[in-house]
Formats: sequence, structure tokens, C-alpha cells
Amino acid sequence: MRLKVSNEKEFWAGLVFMLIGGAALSQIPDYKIGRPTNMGPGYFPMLIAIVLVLLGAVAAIRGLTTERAERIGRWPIAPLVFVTLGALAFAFLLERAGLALAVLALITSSCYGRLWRKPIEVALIFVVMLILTIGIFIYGIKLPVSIL
Amino acid sequence: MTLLGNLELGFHVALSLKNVLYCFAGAAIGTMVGILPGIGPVTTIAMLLPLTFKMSPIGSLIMLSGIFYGSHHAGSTTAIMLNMPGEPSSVVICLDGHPMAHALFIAAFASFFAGCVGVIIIAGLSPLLAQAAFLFGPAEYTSMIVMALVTASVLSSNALITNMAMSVVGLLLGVVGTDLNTGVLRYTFGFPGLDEGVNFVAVAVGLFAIAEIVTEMGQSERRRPLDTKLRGLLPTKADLQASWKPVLRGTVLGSLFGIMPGTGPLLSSFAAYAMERRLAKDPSRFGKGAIEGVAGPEAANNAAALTHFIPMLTLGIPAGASFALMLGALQIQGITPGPEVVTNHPDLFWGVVASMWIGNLMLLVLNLPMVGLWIRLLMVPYRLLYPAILVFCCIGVYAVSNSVFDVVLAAIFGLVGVVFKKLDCSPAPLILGLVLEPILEEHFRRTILLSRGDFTVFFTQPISLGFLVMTIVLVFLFARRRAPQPQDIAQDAHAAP
Repeated sequence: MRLKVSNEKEFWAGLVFMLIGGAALSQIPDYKIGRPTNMGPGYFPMLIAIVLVLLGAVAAIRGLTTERAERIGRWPIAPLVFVTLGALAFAFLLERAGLALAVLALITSSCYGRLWRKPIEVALIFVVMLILTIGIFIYGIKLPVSIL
Repeated sequence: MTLLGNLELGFHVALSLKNVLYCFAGAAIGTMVGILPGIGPVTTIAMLLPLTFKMSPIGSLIMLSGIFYGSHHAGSTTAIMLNMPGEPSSVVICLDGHPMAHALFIAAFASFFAGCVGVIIIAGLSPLLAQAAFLFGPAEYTSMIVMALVTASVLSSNALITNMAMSVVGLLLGVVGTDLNTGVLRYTFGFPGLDEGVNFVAVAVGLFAIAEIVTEMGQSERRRPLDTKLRGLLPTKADLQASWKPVLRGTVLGSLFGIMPGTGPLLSSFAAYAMERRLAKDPSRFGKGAIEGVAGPEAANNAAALTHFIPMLTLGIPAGASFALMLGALQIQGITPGPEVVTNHPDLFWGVVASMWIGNLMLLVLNLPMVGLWIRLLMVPYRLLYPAILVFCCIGVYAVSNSVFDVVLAAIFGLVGVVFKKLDCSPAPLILGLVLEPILEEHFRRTILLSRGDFTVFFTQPISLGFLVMTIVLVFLFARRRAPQPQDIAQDAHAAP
């Protein structure tokens, strides 16, 4: 039997919710559930995880029974990869190598498209952002982070 | 203390030089952010949060609230001048504002009037609500929070089920960390960075800022049409005559809609527009430049933006993601928002209320004479903006607790946020769930403990039953709607509520 996914977004959203709820439930046995009058750490999470799985199931069913014209469309893979890598690089470098290099990594990564076409623009953005962040965060709120 | 006495205290606090400056900063930043597409009040508040830790709680709240209502106020300027909404709630102004630049004047005064009324409502209603809340026991709080979470999902343009699921995901995220009741670590998987729970600023930055930027980058840059003639700014007598009733109606509508958690400002704009069109003698004028279509929604939008503060200031219940962040900021500063704030921190409460009025006055100046400046701001290309936003966000997240782990969290939530965005799952209910989880779980546990295991207590206590009944009523009232077409434009135009 071939299922027609007529409402893509809601269907997959429902599956994602069921996955999250299920994952949460899988950890519950590690925590004491207890009794209503003496709730353990696992009681409340178990309740809401069950609710989540149920809501996810409803959404998935709606995804098969309701109509919605918009498809999910293309994923912004390249921006996602570069921005995530940039943020991770920032996190890695900030305390180890200082603010300047961290900001540099973030900016070069997020401006990946124009590094070769408009290098001066990227360099300017870097300089301006470095000055602003030093001014606001290091001098302004005395963030304990070294510049280099 | 009488109302007058409280207001006097409030203005005394709000008119200190520092607080006036914070108010102006908030209103100005809010205006900027409301005009620029691609960045909203939630992202801005998240970015500026660590800066507020060095400020007094009063100053922080004054500035952050200024950003919120400033951004909602300003969105209409863009909508009118460039036929491109800056904030989703201005989409409606777009429909009717564009052909007439003198609508700016009407819009600004409609907003100011609505703002004044909004402040009066807050001043009058909040102490009463706070008093009523003292009657609340844990069962009532539990039901109230459930109602807030459901309402926030209902009064929203996306699917109800999806939004409710998002708030539950938020609740689950809120579970992560140390269980205050038993001291047990839950869902931390050995990461010490999670011992204190998931940093809500990291989540907000990831879901709102990073996800938005990544999605925008995936689309080609849109050229913005600029055709503005600032002449003809003054309204005609006919305009004034036509607008005063819509302004009154819009103010009432907006004030009511704003009190409930959810997307009050956006919804009230649309509701006001629909109401004006239905009441107009010649509905065909709408969409081509009917001043009622500007005055009413603008008043509604601004009134709602102000009354939206009431749940947080009086009950400690954030009405939206921005308020969830403000609540978190107050908690970090050692103030637990709730009914006690009105009585235990009167300088904070009344100072903020007074500064809202001052802020509205500033917005009148910011939005009218300085309009040319803001329009120029719109010409800044997105490709110059987003790296700046990313840098501020990353360092801002770090600054909350000097933790690079939080930055990693933000990156992860950026990824998660993109997935949710593609699946049309609104992130605002998630933030609400995240911030509200500790209180909800605590009150729930206490209710059942006190009732000795009796779960029907939520339905047998009258106030609690009242909240639950209201929830169900709201679900049935609003869940049947088919999202109207302009709201699809709103989805494209902007992200954060």
C-alpha cells in the first residue's frame, strides 16, 4: 500500500516529534519514576515525552490526510555547513587562540561565497566587527577573553 | 499606594538620566531592528542579553522592552514607505499604506494614542491581576501555564498541533539539567555544560538568528525598490475624520488580543484590518489606500505590543519568545517575575511602566522626523549585515556564562532550527516551553503532592477549571481558521515574533 504524503511538512514534523519523544522515553528507565505523591526525576519527563509522541503521531496522520500545496523544497546545505563550521570554529578558537582569530574564522567561514570575489569587503567586515566586539565586549562588559 | 502615587514613583525612576538613555537606546535599536528585514526583536534581545547583566534590572528591562515595542512600532514605517513589511504585524499596513506616504503621520499618531491607552491599561489592570494571583495555588498555576502554552500555539499562524508539539519539545529541553527536587542529573549525558540546564540564550540564538541567517543565505538577494516621496506627509482633514474611529476600535481590539500569550500584535493587526473592512461603507477601497486600513491595524498592533507585557509583569508568564528571554534575564539578575514583583519591586514595575510611555513618546519622534534616516538604513545589503549578526550572536552567547560549550549548543540549535524552519515548526513555543518548564514541573509536582495523588484536582478547583475551560474554548475558536493568505507573506517577510 503506497501512502500519499499530501502534507509533507506536517508529516515529517510529526515523525521528528515522535523521534524526539521516543528518544526521551528511552532514557527514562535510568531515572526513578516514583509515585504521584512522591515523583521521581523521571515522572514529569515521562509524561511530557508521551504527550510529545502522541502529538507527533497526530501530526504525522494529518500529514497523510490533509492537503497542503507547499513542498519542503531545497535545503540550504552549503550555508548550513559553512555557518555551523564557522560557529564551531569560533567556539574552538575563542579561549585557545583569542578573540581576533575566532572572529576571523567565523567571518571567513560565513562569507565563504565572496572570499575570492570580494576579499576587500570581507576584510573590512572583519576589521569593523573586531573593533566593535573589542569595544563592546572587552572594554564594555570586561569579558575575560584575550584578543590574540 | 494609590495609582497616582505609584505613577509618580514610576516616573521618578524612569526619568533618571541613565534610564532615559536606556529607554532611548531600546526604542532606537528596536526601531532599527523593526525596519531591517532578517533580524527581529528576539534575536536582538538574545544578542544584547549579556550586556544587560552589567546593568541594573530596571535598566535592563527598560531597554529590552523598548526594543520589543519599538520594533513592532517601526515595522509599519517600512511597510508604508517601501511596500515591504519590516515586522510581520506590519504586513497589514503594507496592503493599504503604500500608495500614501502621509499615512505615516496617521500611523505614528495612531500608534502613540494606542500606546498611551496600553500603558494606562497596564497601570490599571496589573495590580488587580497581581492581587488576584495571590489566590492562586499550585493547581491554578499549573493550569495557567498550560493555558499559556496552548494559547501561544493557538494564536499563531502555523498548525496548532505542530506548535503544541514544539512547546512540549521546549518542556523536554527544560528538563535537561539538575532536577531541583531530587538533585539528579537528567539528560546531561556526561556534559558538564548541561548541568545547569540548556542555556536559553544559546537556544534562542540558534533557533532564531542562526537558522534565519542560514535560510536567508540560501536565497538570492532581493533588490529593494525605493520610491519615496516624502512630500505630502501631512494628513488631510478627511484623513483625520476617517481615522479616529478605526484608531479607537483598533486600540480596544489590540489591547484585548495582546493580553493573551501568542502572537498578539500580528493577529490583532489582521483582526483590526478585517474588522475595518467589514465595517466600511465602501470596502473596495481597501488594498488601494484606505486610511482606515492603516489607522486601525496600526493602533491595534501597538496596543497589543504593550498589553503583551502584562502576563510577564504580573504573573511571570512570558507571552512570547521575547518575553521568555526578558524573564530569563530577570531571573539571572535575581528577580523572579511573578505577582510579587508589583508589590516587592514597585520601583522596577512602575519604573518600567512609566518608561513605556516615555518610550512611546520617543518613538513618535523616531518614526516621524527621522524617517529619512531609517529608510537609508534599509539600503544596507543583507550580505553586510548577517556576518555582523553572527559575530554578535556567538560572542553574546559566550558572554552569558563564559562558556564555549554554549556556543557549540547555539550552533547545534542553528542546525535544528533550520530543520524546524523547513518543516514550518515555529520556534517561539519551544522557547516558551524551555523557560516555563521549571515552574510548571514544580507546581505540577506540588499540586499532586498536596492532593495526595488525586489528578482530578485540576478540574475540581474552580479557578484551575476556569483556565482549562478557557483553553479548550480558545482552541475551538481559533483552530478552525484557515490561515489567510497575507500571513503567508508574513512568513516570508520575517521570522521572529
